[in-house]
Amino acid sequence: MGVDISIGWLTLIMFGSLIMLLMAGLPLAFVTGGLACVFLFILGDSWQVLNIVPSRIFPLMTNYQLSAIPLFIFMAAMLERAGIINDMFDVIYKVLGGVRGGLASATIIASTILAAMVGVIGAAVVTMGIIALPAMLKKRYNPEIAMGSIMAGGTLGILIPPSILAIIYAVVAEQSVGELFIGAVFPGLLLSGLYVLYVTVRCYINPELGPAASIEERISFREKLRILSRMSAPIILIVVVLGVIFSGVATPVEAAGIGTFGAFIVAAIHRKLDWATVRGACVTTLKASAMVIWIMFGATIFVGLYVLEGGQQFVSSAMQGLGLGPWGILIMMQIILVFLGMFLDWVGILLLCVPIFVPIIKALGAASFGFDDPGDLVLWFGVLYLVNMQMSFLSPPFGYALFYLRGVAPPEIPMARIFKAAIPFLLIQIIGLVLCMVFPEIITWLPNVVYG
Amino acid sequence: MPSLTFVLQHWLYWAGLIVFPIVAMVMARRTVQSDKPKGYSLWIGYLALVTGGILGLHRFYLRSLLGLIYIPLFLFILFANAEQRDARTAYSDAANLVKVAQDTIKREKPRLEQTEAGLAEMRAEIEGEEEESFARRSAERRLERAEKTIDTSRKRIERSEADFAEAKPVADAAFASRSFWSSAAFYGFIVILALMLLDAILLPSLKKRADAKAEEEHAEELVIEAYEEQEDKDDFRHISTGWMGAIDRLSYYSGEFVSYWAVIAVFVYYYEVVARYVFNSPTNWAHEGMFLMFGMQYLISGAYAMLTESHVRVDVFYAPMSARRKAIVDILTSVFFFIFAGTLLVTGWIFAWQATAVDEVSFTEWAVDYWPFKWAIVIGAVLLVLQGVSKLAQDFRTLLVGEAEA
Repeated sequence: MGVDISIGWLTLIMFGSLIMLLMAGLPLAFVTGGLACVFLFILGDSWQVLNIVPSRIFPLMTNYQLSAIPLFIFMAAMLERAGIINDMFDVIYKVLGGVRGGLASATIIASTILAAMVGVIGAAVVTMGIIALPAMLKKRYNPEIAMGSIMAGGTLGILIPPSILAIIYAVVAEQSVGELFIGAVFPGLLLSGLYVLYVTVRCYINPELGPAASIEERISFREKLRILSRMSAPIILIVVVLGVIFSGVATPVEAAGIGTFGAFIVAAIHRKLDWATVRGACVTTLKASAMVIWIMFGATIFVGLYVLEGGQQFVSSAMQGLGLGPWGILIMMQIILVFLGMFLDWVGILLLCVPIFVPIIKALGAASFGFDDPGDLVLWFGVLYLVNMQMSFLSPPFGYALFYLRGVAPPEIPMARIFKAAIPFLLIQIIGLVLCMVFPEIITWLPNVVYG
Repeated sequence: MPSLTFVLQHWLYWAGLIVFPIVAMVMARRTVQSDKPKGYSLWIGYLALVTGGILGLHRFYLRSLLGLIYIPLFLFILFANAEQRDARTAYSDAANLVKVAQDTIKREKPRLEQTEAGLAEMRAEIEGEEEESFARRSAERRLERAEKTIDTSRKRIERSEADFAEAKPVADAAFASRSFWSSAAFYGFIVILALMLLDAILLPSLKKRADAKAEEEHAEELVIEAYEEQEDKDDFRHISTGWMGAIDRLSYYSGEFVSYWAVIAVFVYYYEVVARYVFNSPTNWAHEGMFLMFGMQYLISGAYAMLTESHVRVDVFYAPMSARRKAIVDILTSVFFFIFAGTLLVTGWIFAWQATAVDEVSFTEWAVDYWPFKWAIVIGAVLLVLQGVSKLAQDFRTLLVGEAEA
């Protein structure tokens, strides 16, 4: 219709209608897609501008990097059905049995290792909820510590490589997937370490929170070694998948393919490889990847239109108008991300914010954050974003981890208690985020060593 | 090392995309009906042998640690191939240098001889001319030029000879190293093949031994399995009754159909990597064929995800609503859904027709037809619109008849 609207009003109308429709419960993919079509029609000169819709979607269909998403999800689904998660927890608990809060630490460590195999969080939280939670409650662990460690540990799945979120970020911000993966290694380990530290310290101050295994239950060092060997297959899988990505031998997509092949073998070793298992894993994969990709379809058109209309300059000048320096803008962005994380899901936040935020950060320049190399700046921001998104899984009222756990936790545990369990771990995530902001080397050191 | 020259034919690609999911759908239903076999399967054993035997995966599957023998052999082949690749680069660089040197010598030598022969004549010519005359001066200039030519020719030949002397041994050494590593990789491969052949015969007895060692399942595993089975059944629960059920079923089966493509991708990428690093023959079809396949999967799976409510929504106000309220809100918001799905259908149709009209193919060596991928947008949009209609009808039913009967 070719209506002329100033960008300020357009921002208000576009995002206002977005929020309204979202609150009304229409799935995000259709909200963004539908609104994009409406606004294209309103702003465009004729209905033919709508032809932009398939020509925006087709590049995503033919995007090579994106095919790593279904493959990594498939690998996770296959491993989940192979019973790996179960084994891992069992083994680590037996090894850590003598330590106070050992079960909780075992949950976190097992989740961390698991996170290096899977790029999503549902699998870890659900399965840990089924296995680890009853085990901890039986040992009279404090339910909040128990549930918090399950949720926080599971959330690491989207930070520690391979991570689906990192792949999408790389595609949207046009970065190397491998670099993002490798940059996220230390922040992931940092968070995991902080969680374990928190659990252990609390349990040592008050042993009632997480009692150690009784003497009879503990096992000898020899036995521990024997049990650890049971983990060899998954560990080899991690080393192969991450090894080929980091060494540049194979692309992340190929690595995902090899990894899933390995997951088939692991499933076979566990005698779980049959057509029913394959079917279940395929269908789980299909649902998860369809959810992710359809949000991309809708949101790229929506945000693409907004950027085309000058939205980026508008946001940028609005932020500068507030009188914020580069750091102020960065912190502001992180706060916006945290806020959005309370309601929106991670893919949506990424697609709505990253296309607008990244150019602003780039325009501020590497020097204003103390970097020499602009590549480092973009990488740093990308990983900060990944760390930030950890919070979106735990932050009430709509963190995914909370609801995954709700689905499998004993019914007598009220939702409020699950919320409460998440709070300390949320604070730890904030500490982790601040550390990564103050000491960028945590993120940039390893990629520079590996890629030079 | 033998090289793999297999190029996936287009018809085979399409046939694979259609036949494999059908086989998988049939097989999956058969296993669900019969009780799960809990022993080791000979079939999987042989599958592991064929696909991953080079790594000893069949032995790992059957819990035989002797499979570790394969690993060093396999790594040896990888190492030999890497050396061979390096040698090949070194050889082609050196051989190039040798060839350039040889060509230069071949070109410059006759020229040098010719100019040298003409030298005496030129001198005689100078003598013959009058002193200070114009002709003499020009003859002198010619002589000077000829001498310069000789000089540069000599220098060039000298340099080329030096290059030749330097590069020739390098080229020879690289060539020798290349053939050495190539045959080393080949013999390594032969050894692995021999072992695999032996294991092919031993496999049944390995299976028996593995079955004897097999452990009982843990109780927790059964809990998780029950959870997973429930999850799989839950998808089916979304299917409604009546004509809406027919649409739901269409979405359900089309989704399940395309979901099996992921399995194809796993084996194809594995093949690609093995072909590249073990047989030094990267394919020109694996990557393209797979990401295009996933591209179609994304589109077609939209309706399945909608049926199973996998598309995420913001639950702040929506989740606590009564079924009736939800139906009302859904009917209102569905306007935007239909705007999107309808636009996708119409513009996708135009987009796909344009590609079909010009018989668009991809700009790669494999040159697969592009139009089917673009029609996948239309198929996805049709399924989505249909699913939307089914959902809308169900919402109206909830509204009119009430929750209990819907």
